[in-house]
Parts: sequence; C-alpha cells; structure tokens
Amino acid sequence: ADKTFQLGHVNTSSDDDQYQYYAVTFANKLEELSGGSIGIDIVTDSVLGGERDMFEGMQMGTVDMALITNFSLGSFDPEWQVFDLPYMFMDREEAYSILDDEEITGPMQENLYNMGVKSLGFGDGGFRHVICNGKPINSADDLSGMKIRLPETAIYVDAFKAMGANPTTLAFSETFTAVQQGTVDGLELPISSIHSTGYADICEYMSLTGHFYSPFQIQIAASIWDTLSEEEQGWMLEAAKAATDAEREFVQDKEQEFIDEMAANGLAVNEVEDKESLAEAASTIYDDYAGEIGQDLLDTVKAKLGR
Amino acid sequence: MLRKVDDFFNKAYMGVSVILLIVVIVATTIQVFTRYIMNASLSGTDEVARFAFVWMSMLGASICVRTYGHAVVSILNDSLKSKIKLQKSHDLIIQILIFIGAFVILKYGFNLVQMTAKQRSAGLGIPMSYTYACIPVGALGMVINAIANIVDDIKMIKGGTDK
Amino acid sequence: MTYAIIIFALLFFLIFFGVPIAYSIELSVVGFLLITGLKPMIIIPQKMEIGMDTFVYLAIPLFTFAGYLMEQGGLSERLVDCVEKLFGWIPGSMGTITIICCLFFAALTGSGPATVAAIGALMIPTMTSNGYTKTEAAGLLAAGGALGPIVPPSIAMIVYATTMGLSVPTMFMAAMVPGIVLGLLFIITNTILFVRKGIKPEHKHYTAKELLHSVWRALGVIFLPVLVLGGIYGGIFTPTEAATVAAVYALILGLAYRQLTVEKLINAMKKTVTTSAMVVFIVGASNAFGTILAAANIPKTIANALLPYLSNKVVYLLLLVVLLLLVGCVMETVSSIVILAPILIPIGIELGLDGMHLGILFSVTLIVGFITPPFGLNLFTSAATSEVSFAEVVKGVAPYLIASLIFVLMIAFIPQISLTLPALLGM
Ligand code: NA
Ligand code: NA
Repeated sequence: ADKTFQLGHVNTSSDDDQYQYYAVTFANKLEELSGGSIGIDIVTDSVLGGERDMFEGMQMGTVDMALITNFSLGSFDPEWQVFDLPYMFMDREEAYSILDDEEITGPMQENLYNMGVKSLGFGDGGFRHVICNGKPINSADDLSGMKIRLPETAIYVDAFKAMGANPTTLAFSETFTAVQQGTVDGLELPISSIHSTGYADICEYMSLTGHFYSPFQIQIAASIWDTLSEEEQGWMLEAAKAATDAEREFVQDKEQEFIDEMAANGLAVNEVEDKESLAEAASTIYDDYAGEIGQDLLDTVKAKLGR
Repeated sequence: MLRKVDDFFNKAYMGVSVILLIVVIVATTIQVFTRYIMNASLSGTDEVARFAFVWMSMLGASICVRTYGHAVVSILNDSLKSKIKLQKSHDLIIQILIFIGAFVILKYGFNLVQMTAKQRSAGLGIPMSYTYACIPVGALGMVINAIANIVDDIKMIKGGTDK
Repeated sequence: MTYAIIIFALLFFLIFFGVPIAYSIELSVVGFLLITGLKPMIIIPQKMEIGMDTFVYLAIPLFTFAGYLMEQGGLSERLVDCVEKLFGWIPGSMGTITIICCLFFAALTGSGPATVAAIGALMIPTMTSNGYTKTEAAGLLAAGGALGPIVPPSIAMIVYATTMGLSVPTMFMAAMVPGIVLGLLFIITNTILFVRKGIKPEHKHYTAKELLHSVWRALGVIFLPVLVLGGIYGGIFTPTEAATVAAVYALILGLAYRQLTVEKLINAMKKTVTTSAMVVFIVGASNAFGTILAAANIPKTIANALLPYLSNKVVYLLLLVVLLLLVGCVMETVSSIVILAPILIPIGIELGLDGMHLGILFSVTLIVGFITPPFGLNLFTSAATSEVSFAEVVKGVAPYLIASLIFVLMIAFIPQISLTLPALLGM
C-alpha cells in the first residue's frame, strides 16, 4: 500500500466482536476500492489508548483513525449526548432513521470536523441492558435501590438515579471483582460486551432493559483527511457505508446468537414487562440536558420520532 | 536568590501535595462509606480522587528532582566517588538531561492544556485542562530544581570544597 | 527492527549512564521522535497524564501511606515485639523474624519499598545487635521486601490482572502459596547462613503472661489484614478502596495507641508523596514509551523475531524467565507488565499453558527483579534504610537471590504451586 493508516479501537480482536468486524470490513472494502493503494492497520485492545485519548490524538495528529463510541463524544461536543439519553430510541429502526438522517447528523459531523476530527460513518454498538444478581428487572420498582455499576458518564449516572437505582461509578477493571463479591448488584453493557467479558458466568439475570442505545463512529484525523484526494475521500466514505450496512446485520445476528448461548449456559434472560415505567422515570432528565444538547436539536429528534 | 526561589517552590509543592493526599483519602473513604453504609452513592468521588492523585504525583515527582529521590542506576556515579570533581561533572550532564526532559514536558504540556480547555471531564464536567495542567506545573518545578542542581554542581566543580 | 534498536539503545544508554529511570524512559521517546518524526512530541505529556490517571493506581500512595503510618504509629513495633517473643528461641531467629514480619506486612501492603522501610527501621538495629553484620541485615531486608508484592494484595498483580483481563481475587489466591513458599526458602537460607557462622541465639525466657500481653498489644495490628482481605472478599470494598481502608485503620490505630503525633503524621505524608510520586511518574513515562512502541509496531516485530524459538513449552518458559529477569533488572515492574505481558503471554497460551499460571510466573519473576542489581527498588530502599552502600546491599542479598532464582524455576515448572489453591476454592 502507498498509504497505511492505523485504526484503533478499544474492543478485542475476536471475530465475534462488532467493532473488530466493522474495522475489518472497512479495511477490506477500502483495499478493494483503492486497488490496494490505501492500507489499514487495525490496532485493538486500547493499545493506541482509550477512546478519550484516541479522540484527542486525532485532534493533535498523533492518532490516524479510530472507532469512537457515542458516550465518549459528549465531553468534546455536548450535542452528541442527544443519543445518550435514556430511551431516546425504543428500537433499532428508530435509531437508524435518525442516524441516517443527514439533516440531523450532517451538521453535528460538521462540528466534529471543525474540532479536527472527520466522521465517516456510524456503526451499531447495540442497546445496553442490565445484568445482575438478586432479581430480574421487570419494572422501575425492581431497579429501586439496586447497586448498579456505571461508566463515569454523567448522563448515564443521572438516568439510573432517575430510574431509582443506586448508581456507582467503578473503574471497569475493578467491576468484575465487585460483581463477583457482591460489592455491587450488577452492571449494564451491550450484549456483545456482556458475552465477551464473561459477566454471564457470575450473574444470574440479564434483563433486556435496552435503556441506552450505543452508536459508534469511524473517524479520521481531519489533518489526514485534508491531505487525501477527492477520489480517496470518496473511497473512504464508500468503505464506511459498506461497513455500516454489513455490521448492522452482523450485530443483530450475533446478539441473538450470544443470548441463546448465555441462556443455554444458565443465565436467566428476560424481556422487561413494564419498560414504560423505566422510560417514564428516566425521561425526567431530558429537561436537565436540553440546555447542553440544544433545545432545537432535542425537539427536532423527538418530532421526527413522533414523540 | 535562586536557592530561595527553589526552596519556595519545593515547600509550596510539598504543602499542596500533602493536602492532595488527604483529598485522595477522604474521597475514596466517602465512596466506600456512601455506597456500603448509606446505600446511596455520591457520584464524582472517583474523579476527584484521580484528579488529586495525578496532581500529587506530578508535584511530588518534581520535588524528587531536587532531593535526588528518583530511582536511578548509580554504578557509574558510585565508581567516581573518589574523584569529586569528575563525579560532579557526571552529575552535571545528568541534570542537564533532566532539564531537557522536563523542558519538553513543560513546553508540550502547555500546548496540551491550551488544546483541552473546551473538553469536559466525563463525570463532573470540569474542563479537562484543569487536570492536564498538572503536567506543565509539575514540569516547571522539575525545570527549576534541575537548574538549582546544575548551579550547585558548577559551584562544586569550580573548586568549592564545602562537601 | 531499526526502530526497535534506536529506542532501546537510547533507553539502555541513558539508564546505565545514570539518568533517573523515569527521565531515561521519557528522553528515549524524545530522542526517538526527533530521529524518526513518527509522531508529534505532544503525545508525550498526553500519554503521561493518561498513564497516571488510572483509578487502580490510587493503591500505590494509599498502601505506601499505610506502611509509613504503621512505622510512625508504632504498629510495626508491636508486631515485631509479638513475633520476637514467640519465636526468639530459634537459631537465626532475628532474620527469621524479619522475614516473617515482612510476610505479615506484605499481606497488608502491596508495596516492596514500603515493606522494606517499615520493617527495616525496627529490625536493622535488632539484627545487628544479634550477630548480623549490616551488609547481611540489609541484604536480608531487601529480599524480605520482595515478599511485599508477591503475597496478596499486590499492586503488580492488580496491574497484571487489569492488563490481561484476569480476576484480581483469583490471582491473589493463586499468589498465596507461592508467597509462603518464597518466605520459607528465605527462612531456610537465613538459617543455613546463621548456623554456618556458629553463633548461638540468646535464650530469653518469657512467662505465659508476658507472651499473652505481647499478643494482646499486637492484636489490633493483627486484625488489619483480616479487615483488608475480609473486606474485599466480603463485598464491602474493591482492592483499591481496601488501600484506603488500610490507611484509615492504621491512622486510627496509631492515634488510639497515642504514638502518632501530628508531626509524625505529616512526616508519613511527605514520605508517601515522594515515594509514590517517584513510582507513578515512571508509570506515566512508561505509558508514553509503550504507546510509541505500539505505534512503531515494535512489540510485534520483537515477538515475531522470537517466535521461531518459542515452539515448545520448556524453551518458552525458560526464555520467558530469562527475558523477564533481564527486564526486571532495568525496568520498573508495572511498566514491564503493561508493555510486555500482552506480547509474550498470548504465545504461551497458544502453547497450551494456563493463563493464571503464566500470570503468577510473570509477576513473581519481575518482582525478583526488585532485588536483582543494577536496578532494584528494594535495593535502593534497603540501602537508604540501613545506611550502607548500594554495593554492600548487593553483596548481602546474593544468597537470597540464588534462593529466588530456584523459586522462579519452581513456579515455572510446577504450575500446581499457583493453581491448586484457587482450584480448591472453585475460583
Ligand atoms: Na502484598
Ligand atoms: Na532489578
């Protein structure tokens, strides 16, 4: 290849992993389109850094490309938090319809570009669900008082407070021990992460709460983007589009496969009977974040979803 | 004059570091206490603890330059023990290298702080530049302490016999 | 390969020239970037901050503080008195007591230097008044300090488990038997050395009342490891939070025993700041170093170069031990783990070796590096505590170093030492 870029992400290099699948599909398609002139070197397991430092790295020109999860973007540009709001999307179709809507995401991506990072496309990271010990969650009442580990993201923590839980922000590296020893009752993650991190072995229940949707983006440093020819830029965007389409199918198949596998190994999986009670309790934080996100953006997204 | 400035920096850095250590202890204690005993977690305690911790580490590391507290393989310097001037010259080169290393951290750390002024921390939403500022502030102390060591070394080489 | 040669040549030159380790690491990155222009220089401060800004590293100052509080608050003295009265009649007992105290203290702190500092302040005078030379005492103390990071809880193992995705409590359990075995090997070494010197131990007789009294005095201190380990396994706090609990408990106990003055407390804090900052700053510099290695594909290059030689288990284990002992000589444990474990361990797992067994082997071999010259944190700390030169500590530690090497080979080729206890507990 004439040009090789490093593409970093924080997940594992397993074939089952959706981030890895996205990265590999993108790399293959780009190689095909460019006739081998642009190569992608995928770097997994946070070796290039966590998402915060990879995003900073793209801004500074020390990281070429990365897959960045939506909840990491709120620190840089608060409007992206609109997709982190609890129960903003009730299913995948709703999420895809908004993310694919250029009127909404176009200007948001333009803002990222002005910050030094070019967004090429969206991947599907899946909905996040609660996995825990003690009891399954079927309503807001069940969640009341439960000690749930959350990542250090204010909007996530506030959502769980609103739903009545006792959110505790532990480092992810300490969480496994904490769940195992009962320091916390459980945590919440997308299905593929629950599967790959082994929490099914130490938890009794997985309740499909689907409280947050977690899109991720494939991004490239604007400083590199600007040096590419128009043709090369076109290949990049086309490869990202192909990766998005393929990965959206992949993640849905994989999630079902993982659920079946974990259920067969003794994890009790349940659909949430009274999801409305959770959504209603959680929605009380929308107003608190309207200012940061921008009332207009929030209203537009809600209107498009018919809320 | 230099020695006074240097002493002032080290005393201030140490004073602040001790306070930061107390902050680390209090914040983590509150985290355990509120989660386990009060069954309602106070958010942001881990972020406060980490913030205090990185600041304490950078300030403490700069004090170590003056006290020669950094871990070092001292075979070469030990072998020069009988030749004081040669030993001091060797240390002079090392202190200059420390000065260069610290200066790089200072200069680019300052750029980093400017770049991250708009970025917010994930938990408490404070500007990330407040955290990153520990890097140039600590490096400034390292630069000053390296200069103080260099001046001492030069005095000794020039024929000072006070050691 | 050119990249690898440039950066490692710079690193080794700076370290052996005598530039402090942290600056050697940072300056080798600076030099590498100047020569290759691979990344902008701003990556250095960014990666430094991110390397330090990690919740689990809070355990470093907190356990260190607990150690200094025990020293300043007279808690270590109570422990030593109790052990001395119970075991004082055994030949070479002062050395044995020092090792037992180190084992006990090791269960409280994750830090080798903290163990050396806390036990050393009391045991160096006791040993020298009982027939040991200062060199022997300093060497034994440095070795005993290696027990600190091996017997759980251990910062090195927290970092390893975090990096390699293992469970921290399981790893702690797996390290329990190896820690005791190493302690026993040190006791045997000490006894042989002492008997060969032909000195008879002093025969003091204590009444049952005196013995009970000294146990009673130490009871509060003996409860500390119960609290720390019980709290982690009982689901009250995480291993990092346990470090806070240890520090707060030692503080309360020191105040309750009325031996901890404000002056001593501030003194302990100041020592904690500089000791832990020194270690954490190395961690930060190593993060920049590690990122540059990854960006330049150096780990993969080295692993590929080694791969043809790693085709069977015995060769792999021997090469791993040799490589880690060399690395442990020049590099700090935490950074060695973060940089090397992800490259070297997957090869062993591929060969069918157990991940936990390799984890214990990896950690203990690096920790033995704490007492191997030229770079060993315990050697520096012991030299400082005992007020002897670096060369004398090295001379004193030599017999224990041989015992340690036998120990490392045992861990490498008898996986049951590490794996039986966690298996029995169903972990
Ligand atoms: Na320990
Ligand atoms: Na060593």
